This record gives sequence, C-alpha cells and structure tokens, in this order.
Amino acid sequence: MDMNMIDMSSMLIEDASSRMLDGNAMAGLLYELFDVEMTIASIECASCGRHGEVGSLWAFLESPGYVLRCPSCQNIILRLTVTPDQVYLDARGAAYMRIPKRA
Amino acid sequence: MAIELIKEEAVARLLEWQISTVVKVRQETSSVKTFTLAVPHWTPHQAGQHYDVRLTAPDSYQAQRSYSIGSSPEQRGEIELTVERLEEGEVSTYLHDILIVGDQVELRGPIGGYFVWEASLGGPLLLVAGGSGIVPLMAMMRHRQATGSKVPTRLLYSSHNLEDIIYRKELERLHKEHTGLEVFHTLTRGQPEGWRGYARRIDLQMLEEVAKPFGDRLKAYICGPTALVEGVADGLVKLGIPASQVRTERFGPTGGT
Repeated sequence: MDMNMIDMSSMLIEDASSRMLDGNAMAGLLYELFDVEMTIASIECASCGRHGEVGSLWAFLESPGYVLRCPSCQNIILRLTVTPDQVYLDARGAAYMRIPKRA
Repeated sequence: MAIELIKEEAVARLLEWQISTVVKVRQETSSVKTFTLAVPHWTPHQAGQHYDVRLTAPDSYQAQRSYSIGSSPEQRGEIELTVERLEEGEVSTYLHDILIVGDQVELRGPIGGYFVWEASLGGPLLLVAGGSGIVPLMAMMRHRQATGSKVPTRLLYSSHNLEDIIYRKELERLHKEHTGLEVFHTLTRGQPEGWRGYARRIDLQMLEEVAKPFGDRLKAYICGPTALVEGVADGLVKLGIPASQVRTERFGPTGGT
C-alpha cells in the first residue's frame, strides 16, 4: 500500500515537470490583461526575495488555470483563472512587480 | 535609430487577432513542417518571439497555441512558423494534416520580450537546442546573417537521428560560410556510418568543449524539452556562466513552441 503511494507521488511530479513551461508561454494572456509586453516585467518573489523577469519564471498552464512559480524556491507567484467573461488574478506570491510603460 | 523607432512602434501597437494566409508549406522532416504565412498587419519581430495561433471549430470551441517564429525580421510582410506534429496536439495535427496553401489562419503577435536576441545585443552567442527548440534560435541565426553581424556564435543542436535535424541543409551552409557561426550536432538515438559529430545526450563535458572558447562572457539561449533545458542551464552555471546571461525557453505539450 505504501509502495503504491510512493509510486503515485513520483508520477505526479514527473507529469507536472513535463508540462512545465516558462513565463514566455503566458506572454499573450498577460498582454491581454496589462496591455504591455509583460515577459520583461520584473517580479520579486514574496517568499525568497528573488528578482527576475516574468519570462524567467516557471509556468504551468492548464486552461482555465495558469500558475507562475519562482524558479528558486518554487513559491507560487501568480495565479490566474480565466472564465468566459472574467479573469481572477491572485498575486499574493509577489512582493511587487515593475511593469514597463508603453512607449 | 531606425531600430529604436521600430521597437517603439511594436510596443505601442495593440495585440490584436488578425487573419493570415498560408503562402507556402515546406516539409522539414517527417514530423515537422514550416508554414509561411502572409500577415496583413505585419510588424517587425525580434528574433525569439512567437505568435499565438487560434483555431475555432464550427461549434465555436477554440484552441490556442504559441509557436516560435523561425524567420528573421528582415523577411518582411510574412512569418514562418515551424511546427512539430504532436500526436496528441489538437492544433499541430490540424496544421499538419489539414492546412494547405491559400488557407487562412487566425493569429496574433509578435509576442515575448524575454527570450529574444538582436544583433545590437552582441555576444559571443551560445545557442543550445533540442529537437524543434531550434526554431527561435534559427530566427536569431538568420537575423545575424541578414544584418551581416560577425558576433561569434556556436550552436549545439541535439536531435534523435540525422533525418530529424530541422533546417539541416541551411545549417550546413551557415557553418561553411565562415562568418563566425559554428554548428555542432549531437545525435542521441542513432548515427549514420562515418558520423563525426557527438553521439550522446548533452552533458557537462560536451557543453564545456563547445562553450569554452567563449569564456564566461557568453550570452546563452537554450530552447528544447524541459529536461534538456534544465540540464544545460545547470551545466552552464557549473561552468561559471552567471545565471543572468542564460535565457531559457521550455516547450511541452501545452505550449507547442
């Protein structure tokens, strides 16, 4: 029984890493929301303090849910859920974001 | 100056869906095709950027994927998307099996500002690709050629077999032109008789051999499956390359790039 549990969890981890992408993969969706190129916006992780561009974060895209994680500590930085007429944005994992203005 | 103006224009434009037309389809390998698309509101991209492609079924179900641009920004008015056919991929199977010259494709772009390179950023440039991860790096190499850039560049490209190498002839030509661009292949599943390239998965020793002449000032762009990207990025950090000089783009079943 215990063996089965172990097998299950390692499978889940493998499965998740095979679907892992970069923040680049969310560029279109974030552009829709913020109306600027967001992959070069920088974010500070609220958990470990890492600074980095959105493009450097880990992305897990399972429509309608989208998650960006910190590559240093794996903290969830942004969580997005897209419904037909609304977008939920949970950014409590980010200390702050620095977003480039449009020219 | 001209480049600065173009960049501002690209940023200022809204990202809107538009209808492109297929003007050419080229079979690259048994599972990879390049689609040349005429884009009505074309704006110059940066090498490494992508377009989102959206398909709408008669019942209005929509599927959307991101595909890297393979062409250089100097190829004006159209873009080339090189797409691998994934058995389970609802968009790539449609593009491969149904789409022909004259068909229309809904898309928006160019998108992305992180995994990009332009000649003015300089180098030396280390490009590492696995499989169809070559596509955005090809845009960088084509842009480099088109602008006459002499930035020292090395490509390390991992494929399963010789027949799976995308853009094989063009890469051979670029390598032979002696413009400071060198191509290193590794074939991980099988090698033809007399193969002189690498014959294993990319490892630290291989990375060191390819990257060494560039020292620790190189700019690295890595694109491929997650395992390859992670391995190469970790390897470069072990070789003393600052993480800030290493840019990655992973692709997987959901992203399609």
